Amino acid sequence: MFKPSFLKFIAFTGLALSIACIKEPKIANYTPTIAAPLVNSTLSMQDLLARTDTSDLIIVDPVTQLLALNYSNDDLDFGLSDIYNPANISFSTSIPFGSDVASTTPGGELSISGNLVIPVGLPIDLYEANFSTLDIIVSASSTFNHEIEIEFSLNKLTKNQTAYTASINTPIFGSDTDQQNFSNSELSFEDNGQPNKAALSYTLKVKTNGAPINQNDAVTLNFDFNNILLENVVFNPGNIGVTIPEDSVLLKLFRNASNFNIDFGFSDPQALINIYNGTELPYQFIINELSVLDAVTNQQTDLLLNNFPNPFNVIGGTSNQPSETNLLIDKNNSNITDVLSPNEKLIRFGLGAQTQAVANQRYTLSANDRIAIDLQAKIPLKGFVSDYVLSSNVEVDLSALEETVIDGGIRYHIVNNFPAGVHIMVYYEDENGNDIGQLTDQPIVLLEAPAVDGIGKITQPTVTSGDITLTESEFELLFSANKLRLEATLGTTGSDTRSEVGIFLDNFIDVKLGVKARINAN
Amino acid sequence: MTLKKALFIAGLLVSGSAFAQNSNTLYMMENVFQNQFNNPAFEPISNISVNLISGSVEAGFSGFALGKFINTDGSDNSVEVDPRDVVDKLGKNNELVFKTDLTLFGIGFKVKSIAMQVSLRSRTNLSLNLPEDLLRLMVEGNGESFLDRPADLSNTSLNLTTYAELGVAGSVKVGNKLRVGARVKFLSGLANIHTEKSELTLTTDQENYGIRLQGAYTFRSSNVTDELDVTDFEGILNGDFKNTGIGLDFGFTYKLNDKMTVTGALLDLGAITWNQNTKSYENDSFDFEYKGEDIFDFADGNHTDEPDMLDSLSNAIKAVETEGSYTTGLPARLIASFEYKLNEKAYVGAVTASEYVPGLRKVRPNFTGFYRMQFGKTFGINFSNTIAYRSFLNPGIAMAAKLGFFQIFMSSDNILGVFSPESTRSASVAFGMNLAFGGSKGIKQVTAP
Repeated sequence: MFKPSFLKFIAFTGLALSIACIKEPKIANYTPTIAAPLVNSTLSMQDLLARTDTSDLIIVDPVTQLLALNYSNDDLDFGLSDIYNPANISFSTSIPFGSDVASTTPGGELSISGNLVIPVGLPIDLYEANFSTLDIIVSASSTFNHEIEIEFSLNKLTKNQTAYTASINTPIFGSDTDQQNFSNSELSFEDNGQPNKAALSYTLKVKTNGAPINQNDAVTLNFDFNNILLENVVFNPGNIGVTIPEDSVLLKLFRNASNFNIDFGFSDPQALINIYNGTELPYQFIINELSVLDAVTNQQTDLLLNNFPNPFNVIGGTSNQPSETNLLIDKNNSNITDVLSPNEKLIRFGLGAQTQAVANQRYTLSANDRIAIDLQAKIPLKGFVSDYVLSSNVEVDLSALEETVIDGGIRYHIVNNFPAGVHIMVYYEDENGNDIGQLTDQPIVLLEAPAVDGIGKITQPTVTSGDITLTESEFELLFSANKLRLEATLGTTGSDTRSEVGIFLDNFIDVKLGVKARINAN
Repeated sequence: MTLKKALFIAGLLVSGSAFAQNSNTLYMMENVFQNQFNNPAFEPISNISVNLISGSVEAGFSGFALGKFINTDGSDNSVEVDPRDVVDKLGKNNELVFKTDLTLFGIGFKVKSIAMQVSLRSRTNLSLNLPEDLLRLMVEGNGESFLDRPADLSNTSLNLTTYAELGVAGSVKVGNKLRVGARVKFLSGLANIHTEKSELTLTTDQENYGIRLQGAYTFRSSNVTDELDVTDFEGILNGDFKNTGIGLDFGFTYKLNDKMTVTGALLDLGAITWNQNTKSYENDSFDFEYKGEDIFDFADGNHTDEPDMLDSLSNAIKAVETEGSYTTGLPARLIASFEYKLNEKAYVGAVTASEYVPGLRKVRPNFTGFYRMQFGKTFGINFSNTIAYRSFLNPGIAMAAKLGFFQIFMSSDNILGVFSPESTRSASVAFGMNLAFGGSKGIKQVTAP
């Protein structure tokens, strides 16, 4: 049949004839319009605070939904060891032989037994005590002209349900001691409802040697409780002063604010002293010092309190349910508004406390029961802002369009949900970041602050959109730019630039820019 | 490809004098041996017919006629094309069709009322669909009408099938009025490009011209290599091509009475399974959006996002490339005709044909009215006008002559494509030479199956 080459010839001959017959088409000039986005940025309050490295301080007021910066210091606390922490407890008693034995018999042994209640001198009324650690040293001193053996017991000092006992032998006119570790023991200091009593039982044995026994001869026992660490007490401390170390809280409003030229004021800063009493004891606290130190100027200013209860009482609680006392220092009772500013601040405070035990009432206090104190500074972001400049840039390279663009412009669409007016400027930068021009002489967008309600919350964001037609020279600038820098300046606008607004988590500015250019496709 | 080149090629194909549509005008030349390809029930004129050479080429573009948007400046042999005029005259979908059909071998026999035919053909179907919005986007950009609506670029498609067809056909007369026929075709695919899915929407928002690209696509191909020779018929016969398929044609002619005859055919029912050198590129769904740079999102205030944007776009539209067999259907056609005998020399009638367009997944219909004359038994001529490719004026002509054993024929559905290419949307031509032995000595009337 036919060779492939022949069939190819048939097919392509027709095609060649067709090409020969047609006229050469020329495409008329046409000018497509290319539209492309340049900037689509949403600056939210969260973004802004994240840039200031302050996000961890942000809280939302549960009532107003206002944002607030929250600084707190909860390192301070005290407990039993700060209220009553005796280094040692000492008491003594004398045990006379008395008139029971009128004479002595050489080689024999005389003995007497008895019980004593020994008063224990303490600054508090102590009924019971549990000792985590306790060393007991008892020294016996004899006036007898005989050797003495004395066995004694503190019946109400028990360890593992075994009472403390000891036996001491003293030589003629001599003395001796007994030392025992009696940790993890408990001791009742109560006798017939009275505190600070130690019950003692004893047996005194005299090894007679023929010498007479003076009826005034006696053995004196000195008890020393050393190395005391109390685990639990039942007591009435009366009014004991407690020393609380001075503390402070650092307020650094914008930790990373060096990039910002900011003048931000706050209308309602607050300091809150919170005391959580996990003991049964009531206290009276007193603020001894409250001042603000400016970290920049190093100037210290007292926080003056007006109509503020000082001293103030704190009722008792329990370890499971501490009582809570909150003292609010705000613009109504202090000069805090005047002394706080965006500069880094240190709020110093010193407190004193005194127990306020009710007479004859017993209080139980364990070593784990604490009275915690924290100072919280809360700065609601409600105030004023002026000339707060946010600046950022984006690299562009539109030079390829320089030869083909005929005309065009910039489209903008901006939604302002910030409680401030916004000015937007667009600058052209060279590769070194130097300004080589700007999109417009005046801010291309002037957005008035949105309407706000009574607490400063935005009720209706402001929106603006439009087109800016670029001249040929403006296009040349745009094409020669390496970067576009967008600068947004925020400020509470209007006649009163320090008018108060609130800042909320949903505040944002939405900036959209696009470029449209008619190009010569040929 | 640039718009300029695209327009040039489109104009070339539409205006080329060698391209002519063959189907409908030739369809009524029943006595031509090759016309049995259009209806296997047609009865051959001779007891033995041998194809010497025959073929057809068809081209059409539904988008526009070149003459509607060109200005001849008269100063030289050139025409100026205004692209904005072009897109204003486009339809929603603009299909460029190019078909070739070469008969490599053909022989037919007729014994009494039974006819048999064996043929080997090489066929190529090329279909390129260009949505209006695609061309409008190229001409207008996205900054004019597409700020108000999305640019629908779906159905941008290219489909190409080249295959060899070995057909065995038979027809038989049933009663006095009806003749039925069928053809079984064994197919060997040479090359294929198949757009299985093409969905693409470009949206430009009005606030700052943010761009969103959504879509999905599946493209498949077989034997699309530089080494492919679609005219490697020896290779076809040697079975070098492993893409096999089968097709069926059915047809009938029915004489209503002495003056009226109706015919019908259902052609190219079948499919080819492509196994050789296959590639598939698929992305089930992508949604890429670029709204501009987020300049507040960087603590140092400096950043370059352009590479990220391009990377994101590249990743979004990236295809999963696989290899494996796939099957494509043939572009099935349905043809029907009616003819009325005015007298012994003159006939009028109409032909309608509908063809499935794979790229658009729809049927493209056309309609032809004709007036046919017989001059003796050796010469016939058929005048027609076809409505096709959104064009109402496509005058066609077909002629067939037989001198002794030698038969020659020519047909075109649109002769304007030869003389005035700028005013046409489509053109086609079919031609051929046969040897015919025995049977009728002259041209057989089409109305006498």
